[in-house]
Order: sequence, then structure tokens, then C-alpha cells
Amino acid sequence: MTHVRLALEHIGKSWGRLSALTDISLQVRRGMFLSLLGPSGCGKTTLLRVIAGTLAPDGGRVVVDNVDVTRVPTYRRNMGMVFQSFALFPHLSVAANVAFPLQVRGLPRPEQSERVAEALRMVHLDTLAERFPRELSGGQQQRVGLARAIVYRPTILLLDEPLSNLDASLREEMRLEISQITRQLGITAVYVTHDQREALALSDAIAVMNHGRIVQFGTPEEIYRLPADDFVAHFVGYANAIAVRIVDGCARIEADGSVLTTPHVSLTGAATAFIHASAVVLEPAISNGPNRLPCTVSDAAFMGDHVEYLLRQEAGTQLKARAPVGTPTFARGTKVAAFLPEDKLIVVPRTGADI
Amino acid sequence: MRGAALLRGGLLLSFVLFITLPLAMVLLEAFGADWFGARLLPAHWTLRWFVWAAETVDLVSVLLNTVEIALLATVFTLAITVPGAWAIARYRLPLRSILIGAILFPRMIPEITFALGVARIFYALHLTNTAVGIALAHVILAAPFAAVVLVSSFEGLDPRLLEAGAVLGCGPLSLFRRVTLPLALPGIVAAALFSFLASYNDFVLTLMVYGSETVTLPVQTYLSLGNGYLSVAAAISTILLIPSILFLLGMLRMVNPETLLGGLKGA
Repeated sequence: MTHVRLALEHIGKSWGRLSALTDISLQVRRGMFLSLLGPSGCGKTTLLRVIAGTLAPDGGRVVVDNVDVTRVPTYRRNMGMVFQSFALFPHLSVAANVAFPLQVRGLPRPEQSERVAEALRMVHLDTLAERFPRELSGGQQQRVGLARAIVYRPTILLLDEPLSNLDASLREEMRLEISQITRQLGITAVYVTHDQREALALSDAIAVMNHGRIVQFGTPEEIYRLPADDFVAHFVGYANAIAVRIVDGCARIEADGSVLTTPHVSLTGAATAFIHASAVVLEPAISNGPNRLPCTVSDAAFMGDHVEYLLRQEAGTQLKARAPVGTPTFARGTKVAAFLPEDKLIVVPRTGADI
Repeated sequence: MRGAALLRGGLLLSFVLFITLPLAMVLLEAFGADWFGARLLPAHWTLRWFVWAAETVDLVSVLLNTVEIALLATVFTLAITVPGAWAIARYRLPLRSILIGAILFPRMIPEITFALGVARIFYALHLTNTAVGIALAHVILAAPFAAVVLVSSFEGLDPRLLEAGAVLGCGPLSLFRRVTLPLALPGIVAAALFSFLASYNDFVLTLMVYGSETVTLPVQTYLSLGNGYLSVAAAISTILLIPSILFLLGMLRMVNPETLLGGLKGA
């Protein structure tokens, strides 16, 4: 069994009567990249601060390499952290910022400069070592932040929404950089984000959080293909939600009572069926068969490699469809049948959680 | 347009004159001779009054007294105001506004009133005519300025940088030395300069508690004036000016003037 680097056991934290974290337990194996994914206010940053030690939990244990560090102060935990705000020291040059944690640890000078040079090379900033943070772009500053966080080989690398202060164009580049560097170093990482694409692309495992709880823990593929409930399904980007009622394993659409053929479900009662926009197939209105919902095209937008449709059902609910270019197109106002293939549908419990 | 420019220039000029004219008078008095009646300028220029000042007064020991007291007052003031301002700026203290009011209070009442009380205590404790005693008295004057500048400077510190320092391995002391202090240094330097000058320039409080061993430049100016030598007093005042001007120039080089003015916003 692989070594468990970080274990959280029943972590709880509340601000007065407001509960920020409730009974959080999870394990991160050595070298694993874990994302804490959730909307703002879900407790993901609070949890990161509990791991870093800048915030003490009300209850539970933080265990690193089988040692309980819950009461160990931040500066003795040997964590690396990349901040949303970069948090570079403005009075120090790039090289001095990266050397900072090595100086604090009393490394000999020659080794310091060797390691600083190596870390700056990794983030492609070796030519800017003597600059000051204010002279760098946001993307460059965050690279310095990353170099500073890995240069002392921390036990765990913590990343607090490191891309959200960057321009959209820089984000993907920086994401790839983070991915490469963490794999290359084999470092254990915990990454906080509200962007499901970042989490899916970077992680070995994702903990989806809502209202201070972990609502689902799994691999990106599990989270994406088998969301645990309607909150997770919404959050990982399922565009279409259809309220259904399940009786004896048979799903009926609540709006009109028609039967929806779905993969086997063991639920009963109120549930939600989800399907991606790209899985919805548009057919002429005359086609019939199971899982065909009569709709009117209320908008069709040409997006280059695909067409995005907004469909209105007779009952008034909306569906989104995405058809590749080259398939028959349907003009606004056309009556169509939206075919929801059985194997692309997922049915999850309806929690009514807000998104 | 032209009228507005003239008006602006005129206002600026009168402001500058208002501040500099009295100073110019002191300089004319110090370097001039035979300046009587309605003469616009002295009849002759001379260094005589400086020679007189040096002959009648032990200028070196007066200067040393003044600087020693000012340095002590600066150290005492910072020792009190740095932790105090830190507490006010970084923690949510109850009665915060009352606390700030209390710190500013000594500057809001006549100095002579405070001086009477200080004199009373100092006579009882035998602190008069000691450099340490006078420096302590000056803390009352310096602390409000210093505290206001420091609170503003500490409030501007980004708590995320302190958190970053802690995560990167700094214990409380190391964090203070490596992060907090360098970031707060401009504010502390400004507070130190204000404290030094508040003590260096003080007359009223010093007058109440000085003695033969602790004559300072402002007191000496007053004593020379009392002896009837207006020009000698002016010469001593001129010497008195030099450190203030040097400090002002040094301060503007080291500290962004906004830091100093920013301190006054917080009050």
C-alpha cells in the first residue's frame, strides 16, 4: 500500500454559529495531486489553511507522514504554499524571494544559490533573478511564487487558487507548468479551485466541497462520469437537468409524466437526470421512439467547430444542445425532437443544493 | 486662464513668505550688524554674533546635551509606540477610538499645562536636570506623532505576507526580523525622525525641568535673549536650525512623503 502523506480526520471548524467545515476526513497518498473543488464559501480555502497550520481547527486531527501535526505551528510544518495574491516580498528581489525559505532554514550559501538557480530555471525565470516583484507581470510573479514554494522541497505543496488572478490567456500555460513541475518533482499537492476544468485537468483525485462538507471524493473521471448528486453534476458542467420521479426503477419526467429510459437506478422518489449538451442529438420533429422530447429551437449560435442550440420544451423548461458542424442544422423557431441517448443519461438524487 | 495662474502663483508665494519670512528675519539678525529702525536690510554683514555666542556660551556642550536628550527621547518613544501601535493596528482592540484619542490628547492641550504636572512629578522624583528625565518628558510630545505614523504604517502591512513568511518557515522572531521589520521600516524611520525633532525643538517642557547640566539649544536661545543679546540669540537659533533642515532633507530622500502625510489621515 502506498504511503499516506496527509490524512485529515474529522476536521471541524466554525465561525461562531456558522459552520465552515464539518467532519472532513480524507487521505492523500504520496505524490498525489488532490484538488479541493467547490464554489466560493464552500470551505475549501479554510481547509487549506487548516492543513497549512495558519488556522487551527475546532476538532479533528491533521496527520502528516503518520505524525499528528494539528498543534504544530505553521513554520515547523515544512509546507509549500502558492498564494492567489502571489504574496511575494516586495522588498526582496526575485532571487532573494526564492532564497528566503532556504535562508530561514540556514542552508549554506553555495547550496542556496544552486537551488535558487535550479528553481528559477524550472519556471523559466532564470534571466529575471535580479528584478523586483513590482517589475514583473502577474504570470511572472506567480512563477516566482511557485519557485519559492518548491525550492525547499516541502512535504506538501498547497496551492490556493493560483490561477485566478491571472489573465485567461495565461491560465492554461501556467496550469500546464504547475502540472509538469509537480509531476517532475513527484510532489504531493493540494490544490484549491472553483474551476472544474482546472481540477479535472490537474488532479489525481478531486474532493468536491459544498457548505463545508466533502460531497464527493474520487478521480476526475469518476467525478465527471458519475457525479454523486445534482450539486456535483451541475458543478462539473452538466448543462441539462431534468426533474424526474422514480417509481420501481422507472423514471418519469415530472413535467409531463412521460417515461425516460435511463441506465439502471436504485433510487426511488425525486431525482434529477443530467445530460451534457454535446450528448443531446437533434432530430426532425417527426421522429419518434423513446427519450425524444418535442422542442422548439429558440436560439442557434454558430461557434466555429460546433453549433449551440437553446431549446424550449412544451412544458416550458429549457435544454441546451451542442451539435458538431456538418450535422443538419435547425433554424430558430423550428420544431425538433431532442433525443437523449439512454447511455448518456445519469440519474442522481435531488438534494436541492444551491449551485 | 492667466488670471487664475497669477492667483495661484500669488497664493503660493504668500504661503511660502508666511512660513519663511520669520526665518529670514532670524537669519538677517544672526548675520547682520547695525540693523536699526526702518532699514530693510542690515547695514553690514558679520559673523560676530556667532563668535560672541561661542565665547559666552559653551555651545558644544549645549549641542551635545540637546542631541543626547533627543536621541534618548527617540529611543524611549519608539520603545513605547512601536508595540503600542502594533497592537492598535493589528488587533481588534476594544475602545480603539478612545485609545487613539488618549494618545493624541497631549498634543491637544497647552504644553505648559502638561509641563506643570511633569515638573511637579520630576521635583518629587529628583528627575530634573537629568538627560534621562528630560527625554522622558519629551516622550509625551513625541509619542502622539510617532504613534499616528506607526499605526498607519503597520495597518498598511499585508497580513498575507506575514502568513507567507510563516508558511515558508519563519518563527515569530524570524518573521519579525525578516518580513515585518523591513516592511515597516519606512514608517519606523519616519516616527524616529519626528520623535527626534519633537525633542530637539522643544522649549516649554524643557524649561520646566532643565538645570545647569542640561541646557538645550532652545533653552539657551531663550537665556541669551534674556541677557539682552538678540543677535546672539539669533545666532544660536540659526545653529539650532541646521539639524532640522538636514533631517528634513534626509527624510525626504529616505521616506516617501506620502508615508508621513498618510499618518495624519489615520488620526
